[in-house]
Amino acid sequence: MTGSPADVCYLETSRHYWIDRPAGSRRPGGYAALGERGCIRTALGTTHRFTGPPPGRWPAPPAPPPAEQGIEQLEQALSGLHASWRGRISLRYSQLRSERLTVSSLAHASPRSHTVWSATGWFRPVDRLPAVPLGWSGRGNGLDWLSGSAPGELELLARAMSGAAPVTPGYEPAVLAPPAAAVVVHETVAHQVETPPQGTARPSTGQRIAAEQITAFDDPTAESGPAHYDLDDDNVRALGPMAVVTDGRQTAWLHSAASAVAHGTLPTGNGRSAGAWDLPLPRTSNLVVQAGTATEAELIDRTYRGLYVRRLAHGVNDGARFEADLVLAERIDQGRLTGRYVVGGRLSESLELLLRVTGVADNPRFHYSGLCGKAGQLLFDVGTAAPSIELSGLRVLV
Amino acid sequence: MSTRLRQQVGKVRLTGQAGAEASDVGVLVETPWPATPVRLLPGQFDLDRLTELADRELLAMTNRLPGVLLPYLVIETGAVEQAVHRDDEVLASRTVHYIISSCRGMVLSHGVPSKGYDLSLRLWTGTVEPGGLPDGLPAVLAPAALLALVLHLDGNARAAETAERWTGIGPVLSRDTASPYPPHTSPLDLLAGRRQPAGLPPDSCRLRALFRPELWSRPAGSLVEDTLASVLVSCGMSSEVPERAVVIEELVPVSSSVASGRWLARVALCAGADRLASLTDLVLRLDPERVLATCRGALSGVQVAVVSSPFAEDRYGFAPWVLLAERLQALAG
Repeated sequence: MTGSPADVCYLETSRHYWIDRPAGSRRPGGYAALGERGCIRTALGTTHRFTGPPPGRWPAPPAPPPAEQGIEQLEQALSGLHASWRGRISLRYSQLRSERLTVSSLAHASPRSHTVWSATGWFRPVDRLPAVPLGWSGRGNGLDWLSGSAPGELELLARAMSGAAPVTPGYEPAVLAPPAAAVVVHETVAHQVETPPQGTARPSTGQRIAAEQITAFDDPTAESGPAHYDLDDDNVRALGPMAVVTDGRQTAWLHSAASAVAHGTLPTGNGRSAGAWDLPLPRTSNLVVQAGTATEAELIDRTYRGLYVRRLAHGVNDGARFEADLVLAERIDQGRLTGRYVVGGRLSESLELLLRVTGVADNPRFHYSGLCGKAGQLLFDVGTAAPSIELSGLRVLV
Repeated sequence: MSTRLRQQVGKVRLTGQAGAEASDVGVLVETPWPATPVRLLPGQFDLDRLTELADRELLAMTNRLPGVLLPYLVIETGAVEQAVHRDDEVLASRTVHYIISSCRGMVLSHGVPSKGYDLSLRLWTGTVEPGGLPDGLPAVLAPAALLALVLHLDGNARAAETAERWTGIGPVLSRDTASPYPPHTSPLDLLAGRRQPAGLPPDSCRLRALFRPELWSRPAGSLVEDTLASVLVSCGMSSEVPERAVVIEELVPVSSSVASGRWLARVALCAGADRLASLTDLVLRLDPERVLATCRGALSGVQVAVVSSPFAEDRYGFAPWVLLAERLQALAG
């Protein structure tokens, strides 16, 4: 393949592992794959995906495939979860270890190592209730989570759900626990600050997208975040935290190399792709919401009567609305958590939901949940560190 | 003794909305299991030749469609080569070349033997503004829209509880079938009806997924194993073709809700010999089960249809045109 200087070549050598623990099965499954692949994007907008070595003038892939790594401990951890909840849990573990190289005229090519994991499936501790989706993921191999905190999280979830009642639809004050707040912030802020596709109007800044209590940074260098990189998938260096929302107003857009060119600006180190076959898109790395000054208990106390939302799933932003499944919530009464759990229901809100924020707690933290899909690409390591958030109202549908 | 399953897929895809996409991908799965991993192999096809064929097909299709619909046109040419070896012996092999063109979910040409399915097509003759869709006309689901509803329900059923598969609602029935899209077949299909060579793992679903390396990075169960199946949708009753109708050509869910959720609908007005496409998508709040329950009957035999997927390659299947008992306005409520 001949080419022009504006062509870009994405190369990758990778090793994949999968471990299956389906519900009710005593026979575990496991697979491994390795190989090299890549994609050439030409200045004319054509793409050529290939397996094996790259054609013609392009350099060899970045490095030999990552060394084989024992996965026995991971198999043990997954077997432990499976054995504790036999027939009530279905898990699939996936690990991708890769060496990537982007060759372009934009920046000097440097190879990048990348290891991410996920464990997905479902959990059904109570017969009369629907299964709860599970989706854990992040950087590294996930062994710490799977053998450390995951069993406890499932125990807590099972205990809460065993006495839970179906949620009643309505509109009422609410406090989002950090994991639920992370879902809402991810859908209503993170995707909002990712530059829209080429061809749409040049985006502006300064518009209000949240209440003024909300200030947020995108930070690919956050130590404890699921994402962690010095160079993005366009080979552009990440410079550290960047304010994207200040006092509720959007102050920056996240750019890939291509979106920056299209909008006549500079890339921000947010060009991220699921693999060498996918072209980098503007994506959040780790979105960190600045801590407030109140404690979570103070937010609950102020709410007096309402809903404490512990867990959401399947968050979706369709460009106009935000939707998510309400997995588990707890009633707040007289300013206290009551232990009366509710399950089921669905949130369907406008993307301006965070304009209803009336309080932000001092407890932001990352979670083992970094799966994010956009334009056909699923990333394992998109982080959100959100604190507990108080809302003047939240609409729940059934 | 070792068994090797090999698949090579080369394809070129032209669309009215983006640059050409070409790919040339090889996968090798080798036993004894699981000592040897799955490997990616270098490609082997002449992509320039496939591009020539695609260009020629594009020209032919351009003459059949109104110019405003060309951005919806997708042309794909490809070749698939599959083989199963035991040691040095070739147990089975096949090579398939194909050309597929589609527009708004409708497969216009399909270079694979059609097995007698009704491929008579009524193409668009113009466009209509959304405000020009008269109230009160019967609603018809085109094959791609029906397939999208079934795949949505079926995928959720498979992801959540694998014991009981969703098979139908009212007169609408669904069953698994071989994919009409050659790259979504597997070397395992070559072994159908034969004694499987020793050493292959029993869970063929995952094994099939290994021949779809574009899915390797998709970790969620519902995005891998549960979206691999191709389905054939049929309808146990038939109906008269209405003189005028609003056709829902394609449906795309914008929420994951199994019950009532928001869907993007691409619609057309069929009146006499005219089929007028609306270029503005409608947002409908639909309950898939309720829509299928209102199905009055099939208007055609099953046809090849394609449903675009946000997280995987397009999904191909078979479905008929069906008439619904309710009007579009009632469904949208």
